[in-house]
Amino acid sequence: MADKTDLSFTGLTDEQAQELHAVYMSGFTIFTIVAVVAHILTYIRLPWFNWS
Amino acid sequence: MAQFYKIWLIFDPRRVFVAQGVFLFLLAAMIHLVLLSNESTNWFQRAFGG
Repeated sequence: MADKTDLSFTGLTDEQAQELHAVYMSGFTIFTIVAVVAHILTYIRLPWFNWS
Repeated sequence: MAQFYKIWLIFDPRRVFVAQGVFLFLLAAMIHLVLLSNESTNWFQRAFGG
């Protein structure tokens, strides 16, 4: 019986991929927040774009 | 946007995580060294220099 198998090179199911993606995105969000804060603090100390 | 999770059906998460970790580390190290190599952005020089 040809069951409906979606294409998955990694063997993950859709649910597993969605679960993993949720964790990955939360890590990505934390990384981004830290980076934005670091850039703001650095820019306050050393504004690297205001060359005139 | 909602379909982005499917990336994990294509790329092996373990390899992606390792590759991304190594890449981001090297990129960060490079940028810090580039800044340090410039007199006016070398924060040690600015902090402790003449």
